Amino acid sequence: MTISKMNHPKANIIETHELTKVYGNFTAVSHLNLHIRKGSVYGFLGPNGAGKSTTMKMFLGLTRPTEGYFFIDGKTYPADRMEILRNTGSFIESPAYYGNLTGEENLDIIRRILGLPRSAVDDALEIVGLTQFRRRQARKYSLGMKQRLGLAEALLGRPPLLILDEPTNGLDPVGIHEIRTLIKSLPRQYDCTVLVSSHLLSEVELMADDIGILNHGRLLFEGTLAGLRDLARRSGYPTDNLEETFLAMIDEDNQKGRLNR
Amino acid sequence: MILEWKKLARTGFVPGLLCAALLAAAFPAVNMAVRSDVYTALDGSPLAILLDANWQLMAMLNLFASVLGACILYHIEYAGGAMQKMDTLPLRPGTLFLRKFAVLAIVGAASILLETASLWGCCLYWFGGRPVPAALLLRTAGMFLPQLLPTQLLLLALSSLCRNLWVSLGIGVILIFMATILPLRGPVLSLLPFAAPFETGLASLSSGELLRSLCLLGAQLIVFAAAGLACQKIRRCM
Ligand SMILES: Nc1ncnc2c1ncn2[C@@H]1O[C@H](COP(=O)(O)OP(=O)(O)O)[C@@H](O)[C@H]1O
Ligand SMILES: [Mg+2]
Repeated sequence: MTISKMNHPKANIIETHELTKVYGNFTAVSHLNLHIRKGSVYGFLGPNGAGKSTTMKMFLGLTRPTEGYFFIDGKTYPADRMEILRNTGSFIESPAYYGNLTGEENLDIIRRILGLPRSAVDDALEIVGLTQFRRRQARKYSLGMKQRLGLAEALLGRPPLLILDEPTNGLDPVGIHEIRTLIKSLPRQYDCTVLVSSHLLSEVELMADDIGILNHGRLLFEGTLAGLRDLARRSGYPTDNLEETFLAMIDEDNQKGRLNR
Repeated sequence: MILEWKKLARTGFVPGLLCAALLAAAFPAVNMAVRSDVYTALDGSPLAILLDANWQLMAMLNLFASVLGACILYHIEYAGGAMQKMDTLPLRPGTLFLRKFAVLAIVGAASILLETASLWGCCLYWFGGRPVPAALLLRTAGMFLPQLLPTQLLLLALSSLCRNLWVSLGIGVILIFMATILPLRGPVLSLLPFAAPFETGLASLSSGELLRSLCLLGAQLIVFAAAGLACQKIRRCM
């Protein structure tokens, strides 16, 4: 395991210490030490089932860590639950919506819970490009539109921390490009931190400042893209294409895992 | 609370439950219109005669409406995955549950009001010669609500735990039939959830007994509310 030390540990908005989640006798997340810098886009990378969603769910208080702990902006569960959630916009696994309500009404429900001004809804609709369809019922939305609604819900009120779990799933190439560009621009636009997961390195490569690579719940790498290229060069992984590097790393880890078992 | 009403737009919640209440309210009138000579020939308080003849079915309709209402209130949360979103917002886990209960209770109160008004109308129209004391009428209506609330709370807790609408609907309906089949008599058993809404004699009890019944119903309300709130914590971490 290679973990390059971050330069400014004090400036981390999320830090985890030996964070572990066990379901029955299955370890979904194992002794994770993440460092997510304030104001960065952090790409959380791993194949399906690596434990990305499980980790993000722990950050949102949806499931309790079995072992280890974490801080979000110096706060922790359960004491600061309300405070953390007030400052975190999230999109986990699939869009969440009331099918009987329109896109606008959906956002309005969340806006009222967050105690935001009415203009926040228009703002969020505009950012994700859903303004035109705001009066259509969410159940009649296409998958891509639901995805955008989910993103708008996360962006509502422009929270300082965004946790986005595979936000480009189900979008067409144009949509994927738009959302990627949007995510990349967010920290500069309004000074937030984005934790975004994906199972494609090619995607993370285009958005993220830092990346963490997860396989079978264990962190294989954490650092910058340049750091990953550097590691690839030194360890003899393919370097011309980072996706190949990623696949080679996962493959080697899987081989090791098989030997240990 | 306004939020919970807004969420129900286009679900058929309000029109559906209103229909059930209207149906229940129409029943005594139709029954009297068809068989007025049978009932007017009976001795005793007109209100007691009407309740004996009609309340079993009216209470049954109220219970069905409550089952349906409780199911819809949580079905909208689970259908599109909105429940998870609610769990990641700065909202106490029990708040949502209590607000939904308030919605259900208001619908229950409105239904009972409508039904009592109908009973009163029947008294005036068919038993004009035998006046019904307004106080008795109000006391009867006033007791029907606390009789219904613990059952509604239990139904809501049930539906909050069932991701699938049909599971909570099925269990609710089975429980209603159990209550009508089992011989739940006596001052305590008859006030259990699902049995209590059928009870018609509470308003004519002595004030001491009435108070005891109210305490029993109140205690149920507190216990089920605590259980329902505990369920919400468990549900969030499931
Ligand atoms: N509630 C649960 N109970 C049991 N196993 C679970 C549960 N949630 C997730 N898992 C398992 O944990 C592993 C990691 O899942 P997940 O975090 O969703 O992966 P990812 O998001 O990286 O694809 C998977 O093998 C999954 O089956
Ligand atoms: Mg996932």
